[in-house]
Amino acid sequence: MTAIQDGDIVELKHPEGHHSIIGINNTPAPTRRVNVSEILAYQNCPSYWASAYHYKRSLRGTKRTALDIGTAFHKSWEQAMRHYKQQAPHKPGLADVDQWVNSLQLTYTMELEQRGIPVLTKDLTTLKGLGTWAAWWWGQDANPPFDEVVEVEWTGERPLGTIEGVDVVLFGRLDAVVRRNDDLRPLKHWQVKTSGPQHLDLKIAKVKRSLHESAYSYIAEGHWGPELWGGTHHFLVLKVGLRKKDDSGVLLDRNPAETIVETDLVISQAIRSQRLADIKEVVRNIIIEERNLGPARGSLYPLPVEQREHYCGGAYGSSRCQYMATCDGEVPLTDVAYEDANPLERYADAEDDE
Amino acid sequence: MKEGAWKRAMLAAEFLDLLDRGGEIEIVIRHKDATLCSLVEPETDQEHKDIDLVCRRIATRLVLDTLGKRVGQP
Repeated sequence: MTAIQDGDIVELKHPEGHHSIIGINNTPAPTRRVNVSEILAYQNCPSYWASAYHYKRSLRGTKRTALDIGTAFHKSWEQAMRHYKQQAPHKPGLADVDQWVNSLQLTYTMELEQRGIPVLTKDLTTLKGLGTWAAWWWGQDANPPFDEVVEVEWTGERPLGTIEGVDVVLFGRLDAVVRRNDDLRPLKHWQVKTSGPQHLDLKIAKVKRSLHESAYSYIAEGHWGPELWGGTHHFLVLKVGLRKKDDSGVLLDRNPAETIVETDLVISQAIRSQRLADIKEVVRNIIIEERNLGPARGSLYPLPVEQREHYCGGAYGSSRCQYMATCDGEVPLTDVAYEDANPLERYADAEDDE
Repeated sequence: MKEGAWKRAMLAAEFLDLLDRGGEIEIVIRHKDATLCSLVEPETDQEHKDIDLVCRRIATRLVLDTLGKRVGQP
């Protein structure tokens, strides 16, 4: 056989002879950056992934209030962490707590106003409760669960290997990275609507087994090294009533300490290896799916991709997937109700160049 | 997106599909330092695999060059 050398121009000819394409041999393998959330989206429902990530379409103005509270809380928390990072090793005092609660409500209000959604008093009250309780912990606890805030909103990446001829780079963002004693931990915070400790246990167990946790620890270890990495510190803020009944049925203010649950989560190498293999399989499916779907064109519906019904109720099973109508072929994805949206826009360094 | 890029990407995707289904693609090389064109005819299993790899890389590159901008490649 005539040897093909580096740099040779190669023409691929279709066996039926009606067309060909030309390329250069041994050009570097193409690179595909894959975001952790994108992997989770595909795992949840390939059809959802195709709409949200491949075609990058989003139903205009559909964010729910619950999501807005989460976003506002998230932003405010990061603001507090950033403040703490600047002040370290200063311990936050009451002024910090007031500032935090104020900024929590302000951020939330601004988030909603930007989207043209009315601000409800009951949501502000919920936020105040969450903020006050979390701030109470923050202000009262003489020993925060870390010595130093090292990074806030840190975006990292790590090569995942060559999959289907494509060099894949996994990237994602951690809320914060803190140092405790001699190790580093990502700090993650969640709001959990729970009615009992068994739900919490379930939540933590699910996080432990998730692709999410393994993907982030893989990225972080690649940056800081495994010897420094002590697992993830999870900080859960429970969404429970402001007051609760005591044994005699009298309504009392709830002890704020009851609303905060902290847990260190270290996943075993065995679980992580399995999850990384799962991640690579999802990425392989994404790459193949992209080839089949072709370049993004909003008019290509109905989707030739798998629809997973368990996700029609959203991530928490409590909301209708925004793409149900297009998925069913009732509404074209080019409908004016949809707008171009880049789900990766929060990663400033990964934005489109289009 | 330009129509030409779209067509090339779709052709490349078709080649990949053909390979996935076990089909064989004929390839012609034009050496960079000569005008010689020659048909590459694999004889051994390894040569078939090498050709398959070259075809996949070129076609994948073409598809992703078009798609990459839409899927998070900076």
